Amino acid sequence: MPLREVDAAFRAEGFNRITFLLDASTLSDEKQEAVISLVKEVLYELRASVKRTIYFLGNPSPYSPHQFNSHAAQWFQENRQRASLVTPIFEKLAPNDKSDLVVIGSEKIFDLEDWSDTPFLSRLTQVCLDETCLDEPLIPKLVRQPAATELCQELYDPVTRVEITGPGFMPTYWNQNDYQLEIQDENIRLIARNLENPANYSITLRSFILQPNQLQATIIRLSGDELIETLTLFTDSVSNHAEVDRLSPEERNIFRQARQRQEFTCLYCEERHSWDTLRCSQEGILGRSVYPTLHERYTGGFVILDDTGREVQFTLHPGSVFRLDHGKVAIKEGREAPIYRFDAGRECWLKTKEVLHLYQSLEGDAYVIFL
Amino acid sequence: MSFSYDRLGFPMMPLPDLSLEVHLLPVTKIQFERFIAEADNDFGSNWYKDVLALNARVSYKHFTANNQERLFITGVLPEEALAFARWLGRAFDLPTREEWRAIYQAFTDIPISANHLQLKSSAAKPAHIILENLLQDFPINDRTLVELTLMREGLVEWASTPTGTWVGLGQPRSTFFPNLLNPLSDEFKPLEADKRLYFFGFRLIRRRKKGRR
Repeated sequence: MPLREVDAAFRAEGFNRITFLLDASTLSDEKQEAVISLVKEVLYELRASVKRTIYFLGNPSPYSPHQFNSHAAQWFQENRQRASLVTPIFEKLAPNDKSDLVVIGSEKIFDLEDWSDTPFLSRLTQVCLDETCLDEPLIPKLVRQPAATELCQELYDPVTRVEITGPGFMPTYWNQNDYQLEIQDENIRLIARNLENPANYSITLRSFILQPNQLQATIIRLSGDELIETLTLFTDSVSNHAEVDRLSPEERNIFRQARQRQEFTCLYCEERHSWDTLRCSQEGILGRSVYPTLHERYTGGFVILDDTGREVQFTLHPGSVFRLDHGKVAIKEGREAPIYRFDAGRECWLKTKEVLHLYQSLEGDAYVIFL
Repeated sequence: MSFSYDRLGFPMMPLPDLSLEVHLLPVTKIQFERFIAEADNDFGSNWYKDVLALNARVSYKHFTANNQERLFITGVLPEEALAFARWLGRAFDLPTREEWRAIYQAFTDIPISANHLQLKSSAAKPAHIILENLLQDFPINDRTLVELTLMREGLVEWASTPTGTWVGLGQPRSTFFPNLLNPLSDEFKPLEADKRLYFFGFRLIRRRKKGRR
């Protein structure tokens, strides 16, 4: 099976969001009061970090949770003639919406079966306020007559980790620094953990993969529940769109001397450094890049330097993996960047004994370094 | 011959000689659900629950040849079908008895061709899936549109008479409703006007002004 290169994205829309689906269509006045009372308490007791949205079954328009206390009775009246249908709502939610869905007050949702093979149902909880509620096999979680505190505990299950991997997976670019590359035996994954802002689990990436339809994200929650989702593939390239910048004339001279393996005079300490010095150790505890312009912009990863003759341009390549060729990458591991090659026979990436050399030549007059 | 579509994306077959278009299939539950989900009508969960008790719902994704009648909305009264027609758009109506029979005869004369099996990509997803599933195990050789459209072996469908009464026309499968009806000569007259009958469904037509093709 040939190794492919694909551009893909994972969207974290709806992470740590609870979408309440209230059924106003079949409730007696007494039951309606019970639903309103429960929802008011739950909205009050939910952790502030959990976002909320309210819908009424059959109605695609969302209602503001901030106005629930004052408008609930009116909203129930408005939606009394609706029917217990989820299709109008699920069609309104983004296809990738990952919010937790909670149905309250419904006896029977008529069109649930139409959504049985979608991720929506796997995140659905039904809350029953009395014993009359029948067990709906399509709804994975049923909570009977819960107190508000108990329901909040049940619903609070934030995403704690997202892992992206697949057969032959090797990312060569990604736009979210919260994701780190982890290599365990032959298993290569991009992992983000315990992010304060759930939106930061969203990522766009370029990667090698054997089977693009098996490029998947595993979403792991506090409870340990896991959900696997296939990434959305793009036809357009998403690779690094970093701006091209340029070295100062003094830095340009340093670059050209270093490439010739000649000593150069440091712009900080004004001492002579050997060609392979990238950080001046006399500056600060960790030292500073001998290229001050780079030092200001560098956020990790690799830097491509391109000598056009008139100037030296540079492009930052964030991330710990640098694509060298099809099936060949360098991975930054501490102060070294060993080279990995894809082994087509074993269908996995193997670490070679080669390493990325300082100022390793790329195409044309381009060179790569990492600080 | 290509389809036109109602605003929900369900196909309609133009019949220029009759100056009308007709729903390719009887109205499905998923179409009718769009209507009852609207707030400004008298339909709601309790009404729908009663209707579903007569002919249970099956998902358009999971129906089989054995239960395909459950896809369609049945048990509705003519006034309720007309309310749906008005909601769907101007010029939608239930057919007259004569129109229904003319459509039936026209479909009997039209062999099924590849054109009849292709919906445009923007058609409703359920319409695509329903047609695909209906065509599975459906031998199209020597068959006509009257079978594909389920005017034969479908439901009993509402149609109006010149005196303003309502009758049912159709020839359902005997497994769904045991009968010996010939829709071209027989009609089913419900004894009670407000009694819901599980085998009664409907399809809509859209009349065109004479002279327009």
